[in-house]
Amino acid sequence: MSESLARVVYVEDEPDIQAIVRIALEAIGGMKVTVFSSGQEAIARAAEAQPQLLVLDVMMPGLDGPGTLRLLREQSALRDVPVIFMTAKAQPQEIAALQQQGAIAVISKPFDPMDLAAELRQHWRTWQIANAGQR
Amino acid sequence: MKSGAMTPEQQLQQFREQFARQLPDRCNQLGESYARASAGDASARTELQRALHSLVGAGGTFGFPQISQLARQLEQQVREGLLPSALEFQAQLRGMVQLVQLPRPAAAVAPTATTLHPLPRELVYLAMEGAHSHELLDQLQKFQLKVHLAADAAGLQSLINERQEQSCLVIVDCQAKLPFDCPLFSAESAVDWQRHVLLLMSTRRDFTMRLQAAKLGARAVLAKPLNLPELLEVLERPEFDQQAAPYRVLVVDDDLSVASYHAAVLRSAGMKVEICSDVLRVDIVVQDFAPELILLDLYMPGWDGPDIARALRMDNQSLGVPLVFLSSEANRAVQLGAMRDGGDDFLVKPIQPQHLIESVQIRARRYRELRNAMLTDPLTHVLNRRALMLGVEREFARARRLNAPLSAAVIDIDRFKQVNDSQGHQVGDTVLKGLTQLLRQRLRKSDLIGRLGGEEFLVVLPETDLTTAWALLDDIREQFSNFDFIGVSGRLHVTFSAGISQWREQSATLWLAEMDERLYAAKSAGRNRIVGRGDDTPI
Repeated sequence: MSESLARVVYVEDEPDIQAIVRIALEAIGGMKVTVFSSGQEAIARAAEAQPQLLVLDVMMPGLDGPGTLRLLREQSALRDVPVIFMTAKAQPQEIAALQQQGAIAVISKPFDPMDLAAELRQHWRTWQIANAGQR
Repeated sequence: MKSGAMTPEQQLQQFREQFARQLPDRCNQLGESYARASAGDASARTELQRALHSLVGAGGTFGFPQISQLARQLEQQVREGLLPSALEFQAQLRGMVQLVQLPRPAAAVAPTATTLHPLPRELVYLAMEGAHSHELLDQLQKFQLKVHLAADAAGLQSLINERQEQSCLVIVDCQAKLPFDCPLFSAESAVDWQRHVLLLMSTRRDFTMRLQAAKLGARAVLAKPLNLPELLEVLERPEFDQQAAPYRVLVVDDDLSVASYHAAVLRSAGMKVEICSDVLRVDIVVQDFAPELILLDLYMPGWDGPDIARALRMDNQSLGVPLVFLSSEANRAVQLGAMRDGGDDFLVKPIQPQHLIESVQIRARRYRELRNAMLTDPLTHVLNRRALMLGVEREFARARRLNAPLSAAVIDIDRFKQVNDSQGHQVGDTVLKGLTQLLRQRLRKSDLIGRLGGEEFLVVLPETDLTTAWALLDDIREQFSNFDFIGVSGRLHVTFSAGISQWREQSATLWLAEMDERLYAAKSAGRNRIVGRGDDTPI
């Protein structure tokens, strides 16, 4: 229970957003972030990073966020790792659909880099508390 | 990577600048995709939609929320198959490019002071009938305001035109007679005074004069000779503050998808939104986030909105925060019941995004005004002692959560009693205002500035370590000591001393006591210095 969020795998195709999320989580949030630029790359190597949380961009060329998630879930090491989607879509149906894929939260872009780490931590903690009873 | 030596803020700032530099290229590419898409190329259309979509995500993240808004509108039109006309599209792109070209503060000496500044950075000054104010210009420049002098009305017009779409701050020095005969201020004027901030300066300031000034489109009439604190005070009015901090809104709803949607709508208007889906955590989030408005679902499992409203109102701290219910409940009696329990407004779902944004903005603004009046010192407009202490506790929590350094300084004006005794209270007040305005200019929005009492102030600098805090304060000290005040017998120079400390998880009282001790060390070492260690060495 006292475990804190330290290792995050992040999948995003846009280099500028990658860079800013890296600062937001590493320099500001003090986490270790392993970044992959495509779903395929993440599927091949995400498990090595032993993530406590997966953060996936939704709209990526080729394999999109939900598709990546389905394939990551096939790996036993990643089956139970909570996932958060990041998206610039704002329609409630779209957000609801993403949550039905099993995301614990959906973070809208644009986001405030100064607050991103705290936001992820909060969602992660909420998820941990909610899941504590089931273990 | 060389980023190791930079603070996160500096790194972010670098990326912001890079984004701003690359935006014109990005817009050119958008223009090309648009041209091909409107010629019927389906893949160009997909490309266009994708590029706009990524701009929606990137704009606000890099500090330009309006770009996200513009891009979102365009993206929606493209998705719905309604390509805007070429002219319209180009105009939107130009609008985006201009948004990033607004003058952003140049990097100042201290890395922590590079972000948001409350005042415009440039002003245009026109003296009618050969009036002079060279002293004033000197002083304005010390406040890092860039001044452009216009020789006559035509010069003023061309200076404004050079700045194209940008909003200018214009001061017209006009003696006792307002320039009604000058075509620049007539109804057919080539300058649109709605878009710029016009301030008139006159030896007369009676009501008739102000009425006439209002007719000319001026926002204020300044006394002549102008005193700097008065000008700065006018400029600090919220209507001139184009970069005011975003409203903080808390959305309480057990349905995360609904909450996320409302949050997304409010964020698209530049507000800062936090979601709480667990009723039992509401009060923690309220304390931590200090929302300026709470949007509350009427029915939640176990607890209803009115219960939560009453429970929140029991706590003194959240007494005044507007509570707005949001529900599909259309029964007027139920709505009124909810309002009786402490709600301020009742919005019925589904609600138009624009309607939600406006309802929230109006209430949050009123609350902010009221709160400002309650929590600020009437003379200097910085936080009063009570607000300051609340803020310090909040920063403690934040520093713990983010595991970030937190520094603060107690600042005391040197020999202030002598100034007051020899120069009179008016001059003394001007000195106090001058110091607070300088602090506001140099510190970030997220820093706290407050008056502890008399001539003693406290500044709190989140995410700043002792060394950085010392360098920043020392630079401000130097700047302040060069500042010319006008005393009863000419120029007057005033200095301050400060004791600074980095927080080590001690209580607020002990922390302040430590700063006081260091302030005392600074005073005994000869004043006009900053001390950040137990002995009288700086740090």
